[in-house]
Amino acid sequence: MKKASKLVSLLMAAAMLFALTACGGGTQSTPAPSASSAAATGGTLTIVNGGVLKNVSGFPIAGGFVEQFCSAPAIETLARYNEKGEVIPWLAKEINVDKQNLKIVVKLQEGVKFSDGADFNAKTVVDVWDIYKANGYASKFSNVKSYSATGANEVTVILTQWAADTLSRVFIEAGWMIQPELFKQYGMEGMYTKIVGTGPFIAKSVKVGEGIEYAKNPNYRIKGQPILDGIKIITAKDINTAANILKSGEAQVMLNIVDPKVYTELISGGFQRFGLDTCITPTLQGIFFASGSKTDPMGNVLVRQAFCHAIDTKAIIKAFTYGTGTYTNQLAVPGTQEYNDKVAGYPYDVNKAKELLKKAGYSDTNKPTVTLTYQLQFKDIYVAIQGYLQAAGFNVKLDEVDAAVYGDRIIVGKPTPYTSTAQWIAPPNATGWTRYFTATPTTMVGPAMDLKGAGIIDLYSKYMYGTDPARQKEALMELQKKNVDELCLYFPLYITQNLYAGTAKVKDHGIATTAISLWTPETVRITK
Amino acid sequence: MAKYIINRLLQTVVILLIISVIAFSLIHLVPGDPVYAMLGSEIPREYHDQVFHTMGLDKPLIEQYFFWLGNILKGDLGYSYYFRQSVAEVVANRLPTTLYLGIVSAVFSVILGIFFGIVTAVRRGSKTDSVITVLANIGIAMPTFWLAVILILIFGLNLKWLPVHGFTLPWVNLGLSVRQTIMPVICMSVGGIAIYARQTRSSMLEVIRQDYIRTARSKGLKESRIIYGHAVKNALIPILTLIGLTLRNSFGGSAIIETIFNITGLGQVMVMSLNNRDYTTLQTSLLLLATVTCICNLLVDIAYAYADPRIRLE
Repeated sequence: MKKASKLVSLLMAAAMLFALTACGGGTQSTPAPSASSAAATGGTLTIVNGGVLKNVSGFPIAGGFVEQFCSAPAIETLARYNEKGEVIPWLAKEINVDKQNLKIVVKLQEGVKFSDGADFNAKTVVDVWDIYKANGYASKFSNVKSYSATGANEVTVILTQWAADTLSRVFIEAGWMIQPELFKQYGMEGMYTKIVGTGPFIAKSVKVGEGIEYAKNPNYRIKGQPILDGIKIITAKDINTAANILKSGEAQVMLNIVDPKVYTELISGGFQRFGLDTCITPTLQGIFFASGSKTDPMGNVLVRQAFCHAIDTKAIIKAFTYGTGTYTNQLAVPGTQEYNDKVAGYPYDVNKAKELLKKAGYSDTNKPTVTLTYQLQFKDIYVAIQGYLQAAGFNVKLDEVDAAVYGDRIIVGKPTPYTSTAQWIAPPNATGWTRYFTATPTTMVGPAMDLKGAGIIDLYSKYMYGTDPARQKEALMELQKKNVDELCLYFPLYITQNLYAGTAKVKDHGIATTAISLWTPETVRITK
Repeated sequence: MAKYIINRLLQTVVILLIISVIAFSLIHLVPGDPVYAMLGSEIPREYHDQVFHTMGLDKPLIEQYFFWLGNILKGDLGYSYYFRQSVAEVVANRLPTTLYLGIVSAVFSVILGIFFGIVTAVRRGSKTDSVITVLANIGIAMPTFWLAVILILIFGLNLKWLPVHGFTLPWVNLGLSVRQTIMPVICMSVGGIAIYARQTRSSMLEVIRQDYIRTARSKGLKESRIIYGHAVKNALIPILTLIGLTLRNSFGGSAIIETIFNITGLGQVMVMSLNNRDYTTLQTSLLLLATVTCICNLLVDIAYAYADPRIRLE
């Protein structure tokens, strides 16, 4: 089959060359290097990203997961996740929490140096955290009373209260150890193109919107690592272009495959999936019933429940996610510690939806109107949802927007939509999504719901700030059930992973095995 | 002639002012928070507000306009928070790529297009004329992106003869540069060759029916002398307009081709600036492109005046 395809291509090429020659446009070409000749142990790994890097950055805290992924070869974190989602030390040697959960003593790896030769020590950590706090990331230290260098390689963190996400927030999210002297020299803007860390690679060239080239750090602290001579990250502005770069053998890995169709094509074309289903940071796609006013239809729990019953989620997943979506009835991955088996959810039942709407006071002549805001890549899904909702007795307005306007709708909240779509990352301890249900909820939940009166805030606090794991778990399970079965605060569509694909020749990469932004550039290798 | 040029230059200044107002207003009318669009939705609110203020987005639009224009007149094109560079650097880094691809494809388009146009006109009604005319029609009708995808499929993915992405300047790595340039240049030239061929053919056909050509023939001049010495020179006058447009396009870049082949040129910069609401880069690039367009038009008009004495006399 492959031979036949090559033969057809040759014939077509000959025809085209003939045609071009006839036009006087004959081409001279030299064969490009094949993938196999480029791929060798100790060589250069080329990764293509299917979307533009906004904050290609020596300041990874400012970027999203793609930017963090791309700066990870040079900039390391104090801690990483293991496969179970637990926080384990990395640049830190030990992270010790006292019995009261109010003091954390961090012992750092000794003898670590930045790639520019500067020492990495306790003072560095304090300086980096000072920079983060002063430049818009104080929220990462929300329950941190103080931190100080209590030794050359020891940092002590004092907490105001324990929170379930403390370790991941402080040591991973705010744990990216940049070279603080560079910040002092170049300021925030300079940091975006100056990637200097303690990592296994050194940034040779950083071009925003184009890519990064890394060369091996010969003085990396772990002997025998990194395995590769270099890493090259290319940014392609179009996902199909990125896929072509992978298919042509000019890259070995493609990350951030946002279109499941492209992903499925790559997998069926012989590429392998990188990452695990159990990756602790999946993306959950759903609809929040944000409502600016209690008199809006979505302010009524019966209408929200009707909405959920009206849609055949499993059929949507089957039709549009090409096997990459997983069904869930709550904001958690089935089988994980955050998932509550007792949540009943809202199975597809159009008659039940109609019944609920009737109960809520709506009829064929008085239909509730909802506006669905979505971005272009979800158009098919939202058109299908529109069909389901209309069949159940809703008036549905589709509001297709680009990324910038979407940002307005969801983040800035102007104008407040009745419903909104949210894609978000759920860290292992569920704090990533429970924050939507705090005393100051985002526009995704909206001000119309009395979260405090409903007991949501109380459950959230018990879970978030509790120190007894059994009670925390109990509160979390109750929170899940209340959010879904009682209050119907959102409609979960499906769970998907951030999709990565590549050739089987790339080994020990750690990509998407513990977290989507963290991987193991120091161990990655390319087999012949 | 000098008066004519001065007049045109003054007109150009007015046109550019009008374009600057339109470009500025239209960009600011596009909905979407520019800071979140540029820096990503993950940034904290405090940083968002800080950048919003630094960019002057909290000031009245009219104030923002005059601030931007004033800076441009002082030679400061502004800073791009999206590209993390001054706009001058953004443009300067991408212009060589765009110009190189644009000029190479323009040269192919003009030379081959005119050549085929002359051949088809001179051999009107022959098999060569029919074949080239059909190919020219295909060239005009064929969407550039389709051709690009087909070329990638054949030469990049199946045969693996040519790289499917990237651009290297020839003085950096000549071999790689040639391989990377072949497909984009073919895509960018095919339409141009077809248009030039058709335009030249019709222009030539009109010219070779003129009395002075008949006179030249009756004087016993060689056919090649008649065609290349008399007919072509006059037939090319309408082609000058096309050349002006081609020249302008060389500066503007081709967003489609640059995106498909992942080449970071000015066309792609403008698309990225628009998608990410990078106001400063977008409005400055538009103004730059408008300036280049005006200059090209001016050059074409001057060339017209030189090529056709009647225009000079008018």
